[in-house]
Amino acid sequence: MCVNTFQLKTDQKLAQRVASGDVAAFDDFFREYFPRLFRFTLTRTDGNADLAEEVVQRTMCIVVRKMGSYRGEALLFTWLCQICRNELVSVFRQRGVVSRNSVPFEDVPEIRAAIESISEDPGSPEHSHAATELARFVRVTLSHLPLRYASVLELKYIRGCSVAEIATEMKMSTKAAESVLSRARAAFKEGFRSLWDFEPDFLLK
Amino acid sequence: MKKDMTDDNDTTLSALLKLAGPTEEISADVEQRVYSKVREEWEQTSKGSGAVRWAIPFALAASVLVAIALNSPNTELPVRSVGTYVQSGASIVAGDLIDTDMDSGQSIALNGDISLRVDKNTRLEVGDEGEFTLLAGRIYVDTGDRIYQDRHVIVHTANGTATDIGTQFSVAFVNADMSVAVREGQVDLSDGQQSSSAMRGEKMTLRSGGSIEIDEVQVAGAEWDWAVALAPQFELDNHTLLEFLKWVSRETGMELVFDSDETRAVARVSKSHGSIQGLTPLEAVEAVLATTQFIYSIDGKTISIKN
Repeated sequence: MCVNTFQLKTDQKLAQRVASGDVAAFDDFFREYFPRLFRFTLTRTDGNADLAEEVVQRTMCIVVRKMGSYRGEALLFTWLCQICRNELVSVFRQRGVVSRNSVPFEDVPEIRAAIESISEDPGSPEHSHAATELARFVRVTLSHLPLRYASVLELKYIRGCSVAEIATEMKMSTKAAESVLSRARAAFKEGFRSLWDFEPDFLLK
Repeated sequence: MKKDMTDDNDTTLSALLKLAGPTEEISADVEQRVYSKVREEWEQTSKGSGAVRWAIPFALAASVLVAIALNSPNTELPVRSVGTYVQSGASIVAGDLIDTDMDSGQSIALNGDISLRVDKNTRLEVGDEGEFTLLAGRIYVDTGDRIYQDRHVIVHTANGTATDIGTQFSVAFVNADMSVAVREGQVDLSDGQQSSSAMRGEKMTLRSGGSIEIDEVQVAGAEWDWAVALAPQFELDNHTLLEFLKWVSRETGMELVFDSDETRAVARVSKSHGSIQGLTPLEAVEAVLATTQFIYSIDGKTISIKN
């Protein structure tokens, strides 16, 4: 994932405030990262919400205990995801769960090959599998974006809202909504490229 | 005037997101359960260090905090610095007026690694949260690579408002005309009635009568010399040669080209030391590369590096 220093500094400040006992900062932290982490985890528990809840709770408890040690060497969300992956393995082991996602699928070359076959035969089982995997790629990419960006992208491209409607929904001016949408598009593309090592356009050719 | 946002990228994005489907709502019960547990854990951790100052139910936290701030007669909110002058290190805060004379401009580091450069003969009011009002003259903004950042730099003039979308750009307000020149990225321009976007290599002028003109502008060239002259000093120590060359490329607007991936890889791990204080970015290239095995050439638009 592309890391920018501005975001790292913002994350570091938030972590410092949370670690210092600032209640408002804790709530900001929870509101921003709980939904993203929950959705990130759901993609790895085959949609099992109970399991995701347990893993996310364990992860966030660890993170708030360690918050004072966060040094801003990686994005806060990247740090959360790393701890989350460890907790997933731990919870799976304790419950005797064998998950096909126990290895992060972004690290499996075979899945990339499946994705690349998406345009070969639209009616084939391989195509269907690839489409499912691609959908999960997109969800994981979205979970890495700031909540606000993921929300505007969903409003625009899935729910088909106009910019004016997005502005109303997000309680911002039309101008600000346009601006956030523009940033969100760029962030999604950059995030996709960074996570999966190829351009999103490539997948749909 | 408004550019159509539906392009190939938009189509791809739309197809990908539709494939993923709508985000599943997270149950409020689940959220509240996790919140309670994590909050409890956090309070126990914080109590150990004596840090927690008060505990307020989640849903009420924001409003109660606001009420405390408003109702406490003895509360004096600290004046928050929005940046510092590069030369003197003095802070600037919301409400300041930056007024440069005919002899020199100012280079300002805004919070968050944003470079703001104020040309000679310029008057600029400082607002909060990255907002400025340009009363006269010219400014340049380099917001760097802030792709995930939600904040914008917003520049108001009497004619309209420019909002950055992660970019390098200048805003001038001269003779009642507002012009925005974009060197990299995109800037949204609005006068309250209409809005448009200026892209890389475009100069958009909003006339006092309300008309908008769009011209081409070179991203490298004399147009930007005043801003380059106010660039913050680059510290060679602790940076690789590649980072130095990227800085030069960004400051000059010239494309950086390596003759091979191997050359780029060597630049990525090479370091130079010493000071380039007082040198322009292109003078610095000459000084720095003279001490390395690299050969360079500059043709006005491109900096070419060979090993």
